[in-house]
Amino acid sequence: MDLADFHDRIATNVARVVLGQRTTVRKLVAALVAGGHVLLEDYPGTGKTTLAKALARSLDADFKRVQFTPDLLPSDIVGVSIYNPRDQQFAFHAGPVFTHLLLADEINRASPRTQSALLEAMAEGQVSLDGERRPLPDPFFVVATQNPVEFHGTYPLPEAQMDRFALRLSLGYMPTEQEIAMLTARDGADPLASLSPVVTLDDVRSARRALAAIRVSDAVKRYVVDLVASTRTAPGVGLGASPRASLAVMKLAQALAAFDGERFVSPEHVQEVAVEAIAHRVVLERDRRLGGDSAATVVARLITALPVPV
Amino acid sequence: MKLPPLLLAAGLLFWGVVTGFPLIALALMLAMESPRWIRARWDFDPKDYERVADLCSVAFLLLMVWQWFGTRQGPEGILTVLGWLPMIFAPVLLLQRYGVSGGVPLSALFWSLRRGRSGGVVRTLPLDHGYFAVCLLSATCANLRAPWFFPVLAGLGLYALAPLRPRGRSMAAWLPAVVCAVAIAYGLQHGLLVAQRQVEAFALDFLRDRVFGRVDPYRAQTSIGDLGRVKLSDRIVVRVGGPGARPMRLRDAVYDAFAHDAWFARSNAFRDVATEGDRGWRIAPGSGPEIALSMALVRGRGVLPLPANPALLDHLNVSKVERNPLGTVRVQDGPAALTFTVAADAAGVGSELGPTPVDLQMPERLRPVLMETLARWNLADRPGADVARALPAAFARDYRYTTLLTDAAGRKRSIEAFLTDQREGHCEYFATSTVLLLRAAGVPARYVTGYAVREWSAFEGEYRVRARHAHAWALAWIDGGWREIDSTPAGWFDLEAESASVWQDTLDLLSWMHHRWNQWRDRDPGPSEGVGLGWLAIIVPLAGWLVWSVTRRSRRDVEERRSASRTPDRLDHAMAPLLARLATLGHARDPSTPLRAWLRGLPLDDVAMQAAIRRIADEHARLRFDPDAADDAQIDALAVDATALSGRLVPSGAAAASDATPVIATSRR
Repeated sequence: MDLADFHDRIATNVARVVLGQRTTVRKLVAALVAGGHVLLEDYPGTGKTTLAKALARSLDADFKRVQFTPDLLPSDIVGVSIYNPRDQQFAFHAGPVFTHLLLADEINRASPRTQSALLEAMAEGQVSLDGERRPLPDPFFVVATQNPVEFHGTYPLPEAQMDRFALRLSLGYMPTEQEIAMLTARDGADPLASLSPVVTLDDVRSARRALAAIRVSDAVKRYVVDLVASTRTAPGVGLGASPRASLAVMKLAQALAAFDGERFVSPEHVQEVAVEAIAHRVVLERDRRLGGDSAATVVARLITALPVPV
Repeated sequence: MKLPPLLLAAGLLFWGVVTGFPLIALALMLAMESPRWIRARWDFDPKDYERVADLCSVAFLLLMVWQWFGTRQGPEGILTVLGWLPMIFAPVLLLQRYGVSGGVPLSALFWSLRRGRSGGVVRTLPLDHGYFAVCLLSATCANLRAPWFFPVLAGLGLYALAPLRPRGRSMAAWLPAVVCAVAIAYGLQHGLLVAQRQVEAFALDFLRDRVFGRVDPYRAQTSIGDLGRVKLSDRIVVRVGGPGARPMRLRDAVYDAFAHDAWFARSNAFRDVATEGDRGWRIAPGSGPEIALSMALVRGRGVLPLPANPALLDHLNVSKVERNPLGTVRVQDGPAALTFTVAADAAGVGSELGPTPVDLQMPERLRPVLMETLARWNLADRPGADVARALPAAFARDYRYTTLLTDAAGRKRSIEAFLTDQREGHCEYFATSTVLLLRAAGVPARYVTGYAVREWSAFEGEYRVRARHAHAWALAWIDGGWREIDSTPAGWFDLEAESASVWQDTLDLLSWMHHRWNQWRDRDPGPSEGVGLGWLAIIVPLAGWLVWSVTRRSRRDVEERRSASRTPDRLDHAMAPLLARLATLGHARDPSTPLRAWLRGLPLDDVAMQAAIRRIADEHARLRFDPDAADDAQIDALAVDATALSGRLVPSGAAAASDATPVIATSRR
């Protein structure tokens, strides 16, 4: 199975449940292949959780879901060692993080301490508990969701932790026709239940390996770096994107190129993923933010200001 | 730790003033501190740093070698080069100060870090502090003994260390501590200086006592009385050439008083020899064919070995020539390898001091033996000239030359024993005996040391005089002049030659090369040649190396980036007709829109045309952005397609208006 086929299978499967989100699904799969984690940020009820679940069902993989709440503890995620009086030893009870696909629902409702526990696992691919390192399964893919407007009882993710996500996607409200179609589809049984896995874990692993074969020319690399670097000097930006952003953009662009059946990355692929891969790492100055500007619009402006290599 | 502002400039200024390069220091200061005001920075490759660091290191080493061997400074030349360090290593720091990384990659400083590098993290080290320290070190090399030197040095050091001042301490506590530290440092270095002076004085005394120069014009310690083999080295000490006839002997020094088995010069007041305009140093009136002599001088001074009756010394590169009444000539402040010519008046009688009562003195204890010897040879009552003539023949007949001084009879070696029963010895015995016998016969006589000139080298075209050719003979005052009387049996030279080392030829060759090198180094340079050649010897190899490394690099770059650098130009060229045609049709691309996306999105009425343009767009993107795809033939094919397509493009309105000329349905070729 080549990468294009890999994407098509998942996209077709997910489209049976999530309507009209082909581009979002395309980027979501790209993040899965590129080895980056995804933050889905949108208004309640737009289908974030459904999308994540649909992706989980499309994979023949271990899937866990954690509903983040203010009283959630780190041990609720990574696990805990419990003393067993019978054999007089501590036994490790693995938390939900020991899975292939983790849905961290409403991640910004948990306390920073709990968030950190998850984000450390995301960055390191392992969990340190009781002085012992426990590697997470491979692949390990996190889809987190958060609601942007829900200010009550939320703890916004700090910039350093936002940087751990390769992509921040939003779904947006669907057009009227699609919403009607959705109502029709939900008339009967839950369509999620009818989804069956279309790719295996081995497929995911080999897709990740195949990504390395997608070639990136020096011109495109420079374009990526110039684009990311331009966020650091852009007016109104308090904190620009990190080199980790450049890396994420390149890998995601490689995945998108592969989905298009190409063996090389062209600037379109970079542009396609740039806003979602860069914007969440950029912190605007306070007056810009209050003036109604968003990081996404700033990055979009930077893209239109930077000449592409031809 | 950041360098305090303008510290580097202060260090450079200090260095420049102390070492006498104020202009260079100013230029360097300007170059080093300009980055404070100039925002532009260059993104240098680690390779650039390595190359420049290598260049500086090579320059440093070459300068070291040059100063040591190429100039007369010798090892002291290293101090000179150390004084140039801020100049030599300025390029490395300039690269750092104008580069973006703010440091010098460690790989530029350590060869070991260059191997196995795999494009990983480049670790850098800021060299500002090191460079500042080098400035101070170089300044100290100038050895300036000005009273302000130490305070300024201490002040600069304190300024450099100021950022490390403990924050919690008050100035009132810190300042006295600093002053204390400076005072202790001053005391220590002063103590070191005093100690060094005392050690030097002691060492000088020691050496003066134990080690004599090659020739002592005041005293000749003979080996008379010693036992064992008198063995001298094969080292070539003088070379004799030139058009003049070969002198049989070269005189080093003349002595007139004998006591305790040693010869002394009683008339030893050296007087300056005057120069004669441009013609050289005039020793005595008269002239003759020139003989060229080459010899080594130790510490720039020594006694000149000269033929008999020297008249004029020329091409003698020394500051002072002195001569004593006995005819010994010594020079001062000459090069390590001295080459000069001497014109000797073969017919002259010499300008040395005439006979004095000293020239007739002899130890009284020897008088009976001497008179007995003269009587044995029937020379007791003969005129002086006859005695002088007869002595060499008599010695040759009855005495034997040897360097092996045995003590078979259990008696001490002495002149008495030599004359009476041992009757064998080396030249010092023969010469001393001859002088004393002449004096006993009433002839004023002196003792001469020097060399016999016998060994011709066809290879060098010169006579070689080795250390083992050292010889001694007598001067006798006969018929109003000093005549040389050499009574050592003639076979002595061949006997000495037998003791030659098996390595002699090799050593001779090395000696000759050394001699030639010294000659070249100490030649009389023209006004600019001396400096020019020296710098050329350094700059030419360096420039060659730089050019080589740059061309090698560019060659490699060409190989690596052939597809990357040339392809865009060719592709631009290939697409130019199509893009120009589209521009005339009113289609303009925003610079931020990728070309392929723009071409695909062009509002074209004709589907076939759209497909053709898409194909071209895809092909262009592939050739442009796939690093493995660059292929000249494919680019040419793309150019043909694009040109053909541009010819078919018509304004969308025009196509619709005239059905008679439909847009050609294109196929790829």
